[in-house]
Amino acid sequence: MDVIRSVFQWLIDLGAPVFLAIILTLIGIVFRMKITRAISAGLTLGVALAGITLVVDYMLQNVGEASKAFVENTGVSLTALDMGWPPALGMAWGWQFAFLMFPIQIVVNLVMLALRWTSCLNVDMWNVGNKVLTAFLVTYVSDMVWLGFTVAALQAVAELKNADVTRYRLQKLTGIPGVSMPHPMFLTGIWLYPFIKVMDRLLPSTWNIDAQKLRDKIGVFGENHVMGFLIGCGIGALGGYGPSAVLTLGIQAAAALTLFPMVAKLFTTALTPVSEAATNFTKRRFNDREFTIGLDWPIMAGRSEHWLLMILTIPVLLLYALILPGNMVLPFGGLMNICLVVPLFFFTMGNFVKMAIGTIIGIPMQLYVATFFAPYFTSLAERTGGVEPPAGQQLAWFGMDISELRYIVVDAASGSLIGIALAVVTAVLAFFYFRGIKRDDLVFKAELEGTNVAPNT
Amino acid sequence: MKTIIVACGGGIATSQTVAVKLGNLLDDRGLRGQVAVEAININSIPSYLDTADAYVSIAQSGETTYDLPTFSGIPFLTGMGADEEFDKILTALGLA
Repeated sequence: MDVIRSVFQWLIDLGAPVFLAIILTLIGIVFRMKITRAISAGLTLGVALAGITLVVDYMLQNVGEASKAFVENTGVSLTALDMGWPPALGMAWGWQFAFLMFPIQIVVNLVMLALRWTSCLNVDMWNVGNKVLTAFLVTYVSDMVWLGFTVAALQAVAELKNADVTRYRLQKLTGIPGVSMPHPMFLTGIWLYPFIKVMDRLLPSTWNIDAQKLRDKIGVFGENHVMGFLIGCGIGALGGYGPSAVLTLGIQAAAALTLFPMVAKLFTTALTPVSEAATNFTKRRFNDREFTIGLDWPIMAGRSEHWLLMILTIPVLLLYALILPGNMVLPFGGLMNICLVVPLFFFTMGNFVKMAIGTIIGIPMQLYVATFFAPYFTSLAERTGGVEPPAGQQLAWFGMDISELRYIVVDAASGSLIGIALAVVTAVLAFFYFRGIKRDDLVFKAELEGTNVAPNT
Repeated sequence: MKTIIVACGGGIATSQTVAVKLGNLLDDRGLRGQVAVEAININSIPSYLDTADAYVSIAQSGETTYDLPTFSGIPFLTGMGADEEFDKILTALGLA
């Protein structure tokens, strides 16, 4: 036992990129991948982690520096720089226990399928990272790794249940039968549901707009380089930079936002072979069963409402960030507010007006949660990648999936009475949510069967 | 050299998963050197219209139609019907 422990410790001490490269290679070999493919996947993961460190450091050196000037110049204390989801979820893989989440998710899924508690086979392995993050956050506050993974396993259970009770809603929105969506962000429905029901009462669903036309006009602002350039210039200008320095910062900020996805996709490249092996492993065990395939959210991304609303609410987000007392987060990498806008799309069936109202109400909560978690993400960056934010500067993630639930769970795990009270409220809301959303889903099911919708085209 | 684009919300997870799988299928047919597969952000599609030869969409419902041969990426995610869809892509690229 001591030998295993000291070998494991030695591996961890090699640093996250090396450690992860070795672990993923070993996992690949266990799953009977060709040895060269396994080594290639392992190295790619190490490269991804080293790469994400590089771009986060780059962001801190230019945008981070400028944001310090911005704070000094304006007196508005936004000292936590938002890096958005690609680096945040990427770095979660650098946590030393991250890979335990793979077997846990697979076992949870297998057991639930075997007991017929779910009909969803989750093949979305990218979002294993989302449960790694939950486990990390809970472990960080409680110092108990087992508690972190227990909460993460419960999240996996809730995701699968949620996928089951929304599958016909998803089919209605996408036209694709046989799929479901176990993405964590749709658990936001627990708190959204009462708001949605009130809006459904007050607002006629005929109030809508043609999102496509507007998006065609302003869609360019949703491209990373354009968005990065504008926000970089804005931060520079408010930081009192001269014209040439403002433009330079604009290009640097554009570079950071453009490079994030280019590097982050390496995580997918590295993890896809293992996730394929894991999926096949699970499928073989349930060959005779009919199940839905659990996919990531972008199968709904073709609709314009999401993107139009995300772009239109960027100024609202920045205004909130500037005026909300106690907010410390400067939105940057997470300007496109996917994790609030997409659940709103899902639960309002794409009604733009209701989505917009929900977003404007929800952003302050997201900013405060991002402020709350900034020390956690700063620590994650320091320990997994060796990123060193300058003194007084923190890293944050604005727009984290299920911001409200993660805050409540982590606060409760720290023993806070408010956190525990909110957790109880969440449990009650969850009861009504699952009951109500299932009823709604049966209505969609009846509609779909009645109209005999064309299969996947 | 032909170029296939795959798009999702960020050009990171879902689209790259499909891109990796397409890459493996190309490998199996010995076509890796002739086709580049690129995962991109769905908002960037207009910038790729001039250079891409085919678009693999994972979100066709409600999506604008672009002036590109367009295919479904869903079979590559679910594993059902992937070979058939892949053959269609190769035919459109003149590689079948």
